[in-house]
Amino acid sequence: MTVYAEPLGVVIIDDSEEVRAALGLVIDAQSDLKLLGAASGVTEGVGMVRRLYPDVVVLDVNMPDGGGQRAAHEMTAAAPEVRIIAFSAFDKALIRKVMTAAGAEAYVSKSGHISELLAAIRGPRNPGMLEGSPVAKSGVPWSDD
Amino acid sequence: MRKRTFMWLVAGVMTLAAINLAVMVAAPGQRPAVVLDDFSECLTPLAAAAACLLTAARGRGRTRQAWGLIGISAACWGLGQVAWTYQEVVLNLHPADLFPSYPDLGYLTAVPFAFVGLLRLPGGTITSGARLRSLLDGLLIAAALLFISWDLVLGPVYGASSTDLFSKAVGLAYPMSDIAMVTIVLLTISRLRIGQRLPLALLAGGMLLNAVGDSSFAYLTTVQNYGSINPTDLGWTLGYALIGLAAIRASASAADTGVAAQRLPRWRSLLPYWTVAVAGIFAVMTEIEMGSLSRVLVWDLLFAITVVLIRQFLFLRETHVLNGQIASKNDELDQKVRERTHALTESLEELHQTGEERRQLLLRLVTLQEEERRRIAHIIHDDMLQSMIGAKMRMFLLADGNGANAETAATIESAIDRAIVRMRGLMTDLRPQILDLGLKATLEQSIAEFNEVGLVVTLENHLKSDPSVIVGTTLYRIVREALTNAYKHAPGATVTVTLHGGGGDGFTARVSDDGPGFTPQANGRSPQGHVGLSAMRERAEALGGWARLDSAMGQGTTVEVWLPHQVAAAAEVPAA
Repeated sequence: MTVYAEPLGVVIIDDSEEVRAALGLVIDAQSDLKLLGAASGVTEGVGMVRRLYPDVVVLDVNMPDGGGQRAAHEMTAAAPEVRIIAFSAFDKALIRKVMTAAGAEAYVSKSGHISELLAAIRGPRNPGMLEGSPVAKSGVPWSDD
Repeated sequence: MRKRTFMWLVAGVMTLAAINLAVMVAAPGQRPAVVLDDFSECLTPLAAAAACLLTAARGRGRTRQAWGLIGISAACWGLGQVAWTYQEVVLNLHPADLFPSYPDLGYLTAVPFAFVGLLRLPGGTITSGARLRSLLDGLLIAAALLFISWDLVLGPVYGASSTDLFSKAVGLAYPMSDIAMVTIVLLTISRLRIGQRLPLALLAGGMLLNAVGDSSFAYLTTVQNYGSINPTDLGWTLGYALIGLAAIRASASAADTGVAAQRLPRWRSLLPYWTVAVAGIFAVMTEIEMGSLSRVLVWDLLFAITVVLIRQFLFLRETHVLNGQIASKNDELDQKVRERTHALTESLEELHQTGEERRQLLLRLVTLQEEERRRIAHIIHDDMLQSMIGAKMRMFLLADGNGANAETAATIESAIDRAIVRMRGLMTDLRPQILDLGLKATLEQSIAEFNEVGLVVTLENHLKSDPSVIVGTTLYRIVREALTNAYKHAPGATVTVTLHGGGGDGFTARVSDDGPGFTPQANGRSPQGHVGLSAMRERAEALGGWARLDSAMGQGTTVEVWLPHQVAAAAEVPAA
């Protein structure tokens, strides 16, 4: 694995404590990634992004207070350069569509292999894993997952 | 007695009569003819008497009495004839000197026995009204016969002045008793319901022949023209032969000589009127021929008319009473129908209410079930699934670090993966994503799953709007159940799911396959294996809708469900 001089700063937003802890450990174990912080909700997560300016946000889709969709909207507004990786327990085309519409760069299933998520985080340096499908601005009603 | 034996007897009687007639014609008035005639007239009634008494011995009750009396009557007549034969053949007296004498005692004694015997023949149910009608019928027949007889026999006998009073009385006794006999015979034919027609016909025929013989004897005797040998004598021989045969025939089925509950043929019940009609014809002919009717005939006619009037009056009264009874029965029936209708209406209302209560309970049940499923789905998603995902990430760390542990870590990770897949499947089952995606998209996902396992399903969506959560969930569950059934029972079939409605007239979903189909059971129960059909129906009915199944061998299967736009008095599943 290639080692880069400047590791990517990552923020995790997920309401599951177990996922936050485990994912934190996995990211910390990567020499090219650096965990800047982990939030359990949308408001806390958006504040953290404004404060820490991470390169990448791993955003859980299914959360209280508006869920990942709202969080993605707010974060793109606050920090347009931040790359958002939607991270969900469900692998549903519709959710994928909605999240990419809200500004997520990629969509990764929680039940897939963790290397898929890591590849998505590294995104631009590892184009093979990029979710680059064009985004359709559909108005599908969607509340949470 | 067997039918063949009976036929032999009939043949014997016919032969005897034929020989008798032949001898009479070949040698009229000569001694052999007289002897043969007299002896056969002795033999036949005595044989008939024996047959009747035998039948009486075998019979019971009224049958026994009837045949006994008829037997005694035949015996009396036979003994009278023996006396006659003795005087004519042995003492060689001339018939003209034999009247009136001892033989007449036998002949005339025979009449009352036969009369009562006929009356005793078992008849149908006799009500007091029927008895009165029988009496009137008897009087009517007697009046008509008197009219005919007066014209033919009685009148001339009465008018003959050459004999003394006793001779005249005995002479009149014959036609009078004949009238009585014919009356009772006709009455018997018109009233009795004897099981076997043959004995009755034979008996009646025998009695009528006897009466003809008697009347002609009386007539010929009166006009001093009787010479022991006369074709009318055959009337007695044949008459008693028929009576004997009747007794034998009745004995052959002594048990059922009784009542047969059959309707009396109309011609028989109208018999008295026929007799009157014949008398009427005689009256007209006499009137034309003589220019006037004798006083006796006029009174007789008046009497007959009176009887007819009384009979008619009785009939009208009975009809009136019967009409009254029918009317009151009708009223009772009407009342009963009204009461029953009322009770039925009440039952229906109760049933309706019970049905509504049941529907509400089912709806509550369905709602609670959906809530509970949602709750469990949340627990799986928020807690168990996330824990599994965390554990899987940690396994990655473990595998990443140490090569020796890598294999174990990979095994555990794949076990975790399987658990995750099962949990996700369970969640989809427990909580369809109607809330998130809408009915169409949720069904599309389901259909994609079925397509993956080889069932070719296409969706035709004509929905104008999305149903509410409870309606959508129910539609989804029923369609999914139908698809599962199609997958199980019609593997490889092509299935079409059609959605309609949303315009305010409720929602319809139809799932039809081109599989082998089956024969739905008449009681509406699911055939073996189609366990979900009654559940589908209950779910639909709980929401005030319906679900039905249509299938036949080789015709595929169609499940159709309709749900109302709004669920009445329903506790909607709250959005999670």
